[in-house]
Amino acid sequence: MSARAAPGGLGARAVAAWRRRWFPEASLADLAIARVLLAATVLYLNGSLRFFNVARAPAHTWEPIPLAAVLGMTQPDAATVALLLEATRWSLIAAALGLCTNAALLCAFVLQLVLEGLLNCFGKVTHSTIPLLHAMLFFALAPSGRAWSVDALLRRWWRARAGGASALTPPARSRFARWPFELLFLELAFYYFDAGLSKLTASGLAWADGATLQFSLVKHGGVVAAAIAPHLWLCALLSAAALVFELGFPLAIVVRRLRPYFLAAGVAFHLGNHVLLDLIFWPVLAVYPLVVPWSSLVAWWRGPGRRFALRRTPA
Amino acid sequence: MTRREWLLSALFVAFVGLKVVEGVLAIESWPLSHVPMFAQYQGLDRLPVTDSIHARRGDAWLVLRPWQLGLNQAELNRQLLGDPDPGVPCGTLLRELNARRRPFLRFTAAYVERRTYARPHTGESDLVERFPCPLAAEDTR
Repeated sequence: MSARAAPGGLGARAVAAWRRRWFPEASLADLAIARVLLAATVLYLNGSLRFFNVARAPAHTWEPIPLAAVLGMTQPDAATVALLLEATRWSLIAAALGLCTNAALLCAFVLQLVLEGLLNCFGKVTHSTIPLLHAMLFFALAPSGRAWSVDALLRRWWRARAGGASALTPPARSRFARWPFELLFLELAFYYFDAGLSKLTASGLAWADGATLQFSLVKHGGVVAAAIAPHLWLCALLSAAALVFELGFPLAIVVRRLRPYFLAAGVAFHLGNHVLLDLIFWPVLAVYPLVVPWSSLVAWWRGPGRRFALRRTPA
Repeated sequence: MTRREWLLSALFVAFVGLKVVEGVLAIESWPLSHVPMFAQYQGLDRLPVTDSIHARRGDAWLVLRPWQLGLNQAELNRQLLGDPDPGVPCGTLLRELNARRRPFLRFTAAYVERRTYARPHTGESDLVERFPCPLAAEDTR
């Protein structure tokens, strides 16, 4: 993986393959879409009452996580939480508009890390927002403000003042526009794989015999859960499907064609969990649109996708 | 490879390494997590249990929601479910809540209703127990 590797040698081929995987020319518009979606998602997430209890929780339930202990954080009062939320909100608005994009995203990431950290200081780990947090970091390190942003407008205006008309056209593609999507997909894949691996290491294949899912269905109740719980074979089938989905997800890192199928299975998986176990993991689902290369999808729709759809339309 | 590509490549490798370590070493220290929800095997002999807090204000009995105590459901479960007598941690929580409230809003009595669910096809029915929550300091163990 050295730039000085002999041309045609194994090292040079490995470097070329690595660069093809992580640094191909890609649309900056995709990054812009993801940036706006990400900021809107976190704004919506923070708009709920999630952090309401951080200041209200009984003092004896405060159990600082190692990160909070290292930073010397104590249980904050309501005013501090409100201040943190307000600062995060304005950083996210700036990021969505593309104003000082990278700085705004980085600032929002740090603030959100602190807020989510506080939320985890009451003895329970919140898993659902971890991929979203990572997404904030990845997009903060990428050229997310190069297109469809105030930054881009200002840059064009500045170049137009300094140079000729050729400077007016912004670059539509960049070699650094693809990696955040790839890394985020990797994050999702490991997220599910780790969940599957935890089940296997804690319980072995017996986890999928239906007894564990039946336990949860009985506990959480609900009409559909109550209908499924008595059928142990159905519980076993659903458990096995969940395990195959979670452990199989990393396949889609290598075989890109599998990605839409695994993402579709993921939607079904989370909706199923919601209906059966009343588990709302929507912040993980909200990461899905962030890994979609929207420009490729549009190109596909204008090309073969549209022809396919027209062929299927009855005369 | 440019300098920027090298730096980003180092980030990718470090990130993947971190993810592998999280999973293999089963690290559960936020923001690191091996996502172990529902991983524990629950055999057919294990019975699901839920706790709910009922409290009296004036003449009315209310079922308290976790957020009223400043907690979410998982955090409240953690406080109560691990205790063979959930009335004790419930009393601690309610005394703290009462101390922050004006007298007319305070709860005067409370209990935890612990429901142990029977598994389907066992022919047994759910078991419901009540554990009083001591609201005065002298009632505590």
